[in-house]
Amino acid sequence: MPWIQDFIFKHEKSYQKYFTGIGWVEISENAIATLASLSALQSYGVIGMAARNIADGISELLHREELGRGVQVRIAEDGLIIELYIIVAYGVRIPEVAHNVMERVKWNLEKTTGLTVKEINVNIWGIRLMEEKKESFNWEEV
Amino acid sequence: MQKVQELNGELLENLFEQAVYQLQIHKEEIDLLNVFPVPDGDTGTNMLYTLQSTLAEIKKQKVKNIKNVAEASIKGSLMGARGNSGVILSQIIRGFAEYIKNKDKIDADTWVKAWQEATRVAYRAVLNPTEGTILTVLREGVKEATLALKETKDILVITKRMLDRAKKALADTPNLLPILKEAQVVDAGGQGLVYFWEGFLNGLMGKKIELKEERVILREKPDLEVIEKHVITYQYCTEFIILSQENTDFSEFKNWLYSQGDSIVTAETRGMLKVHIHTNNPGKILDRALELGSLSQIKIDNMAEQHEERLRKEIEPMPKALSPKKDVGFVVVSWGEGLNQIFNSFSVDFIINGGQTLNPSVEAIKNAVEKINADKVFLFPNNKNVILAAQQVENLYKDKVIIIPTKHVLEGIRALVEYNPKDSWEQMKKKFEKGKDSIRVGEITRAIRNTSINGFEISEGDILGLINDEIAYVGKDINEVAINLVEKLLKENGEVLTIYYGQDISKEEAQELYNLISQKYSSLSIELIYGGQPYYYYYLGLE
Repeated sequence: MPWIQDFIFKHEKSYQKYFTGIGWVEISENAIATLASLSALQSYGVIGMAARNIADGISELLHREELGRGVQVRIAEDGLIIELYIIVAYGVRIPEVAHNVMERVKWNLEKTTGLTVKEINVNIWGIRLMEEKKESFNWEEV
Repeated sequence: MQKVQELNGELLENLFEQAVYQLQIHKEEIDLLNVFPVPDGDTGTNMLYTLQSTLAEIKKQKVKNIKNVAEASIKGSLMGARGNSGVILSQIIRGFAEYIKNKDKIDADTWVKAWQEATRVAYRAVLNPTEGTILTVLREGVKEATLALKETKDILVITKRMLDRAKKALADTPNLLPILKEAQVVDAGGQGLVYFWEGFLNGLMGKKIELKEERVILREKPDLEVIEKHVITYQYCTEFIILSQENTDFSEFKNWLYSQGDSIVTAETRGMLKVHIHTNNPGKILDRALELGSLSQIKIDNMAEQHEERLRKEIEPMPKALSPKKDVGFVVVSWGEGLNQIFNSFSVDFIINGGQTLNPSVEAIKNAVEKINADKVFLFPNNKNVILAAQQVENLYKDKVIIIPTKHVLEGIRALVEYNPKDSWEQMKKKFEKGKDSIRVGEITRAIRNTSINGFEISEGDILGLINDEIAYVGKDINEVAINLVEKLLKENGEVLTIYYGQDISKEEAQELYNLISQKYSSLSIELIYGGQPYYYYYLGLE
């Protein structure tokens, strides 16, 4: 969105709030977290978000409504720092999937919010074999 | 036409080899299609890298039976998976290879079931598959293969139909994924899969193409910070290809290059040498290269320029739109449409909206002052309640701000009449202060409650005449009060009367008052102006 970029002063870009010539835009951490988790979930190899800070260390696959819980958003001077807690599919190359998630989330966040993302840290909180949805691949019926 | 009923490990190896070849020749084309999920133009490169790693692992196998080739492809693709499409491709290969690895032979049934398994595995690793990507192309192709299996046991025919259907699905991807339509491209990963299968089909048809021993050079995106900190010792990035005789020996030239710069990368094939070097003397390099043959694809970039430009962008904040610098500027507090216009006609730089009930904050005044690019800014508070706020701003900008403590807009206007751009600011200040003192101001308004002040018994709705904020006359009729107020103002000397009528007074009513006053005081020169001020019917200025 170039019109937003136009009005963001370089040093103010890390703020969630910026002026756009006729008014202020403020993006809550909650909104950023939801955006980040939706982008992460669309990434190949990611099959869920995990609740973070679980004392007993058992990761918990989150339901759709509470996706934001698997994301931590911090505001640093030179950009957003995003912590993602994800569950990946069994059998994928984890470093590469993590890297893809970082790129995708960064790109999507920067594109949709106009904010600068400084860091995206991916925490692999679990590995699962996803049950297949029967209806999608019934080869006998094709 | 030949038929393929069965595959063995060696043929399988050739299929991968042909797939790598297809990806190799179409790498750039796929890269250019890459707009989703992140438009970084590396899909082709990533898929090729993944496949090359797969093939390299297969080639390590001494015994090329199905089990070994399949297991090597699983390992190789997993280790080499790179980028989003690379990871997906590795899942496809894994699903395919897991299914065949324990089979003695691969017939048509196994072939199709293996692709079905590949689809399952590929889909299993994503929660919300995006339609219009490599996954869609894969699924549609395998569906067609499943249908084809019912009619033939010829792997070649099945694969051909699978590929044709995949191409159709690929052409449809822009209809499923809007971003592709916008960019007018098909999905890059899907295109990669089509070339991958095309390679397989070529292999099945018995084609054998010797692969050039060329590993893909990965474009690593250097960390921005690393670049900033990197001191450029060699300034020019120089690239070219030498076209020479087939038996030319480049080794001497290559050794010499190391004395000329750094970041040297050379790639040699028969009679050709590609050179990449960072140097301070590209001319010298090119001269020497010319001795060996003709040059092609010459590219020289000044890296210091790129470096500087990047640094400049980083450091420079957006330039603030500044008007050209002036000697003096003016900030006034005003209210009322007509009064604002008058100030505008004096070329006032900034009008702060104020008023009897709306006193501007220190912040508002400070912002106004900051916006003006001038050595001295004259500040006209135009209200005794604003003078205090103005003085705080003056403390912040001691050298810049000069307050003319006007207590009324009419004083402000009167002061500005004295403005002469040729004066020094000291002279201006004197004239402004003299100007403001030379006018006496009367105001006419309406009482909003019952009260008793200065011996006047006032009831709500009475018309009040004020001089210097003190009640001088109370009446029931606006014109009556106005005339009496003029009388009181005239106790001191005065020749010129200016009447500013407010927003609640029509032009006709104002004209009527004008006529009344000019009949009664024929010696006065009277001017009637629209002020548009709220709450106050009239402002009267006499000097």
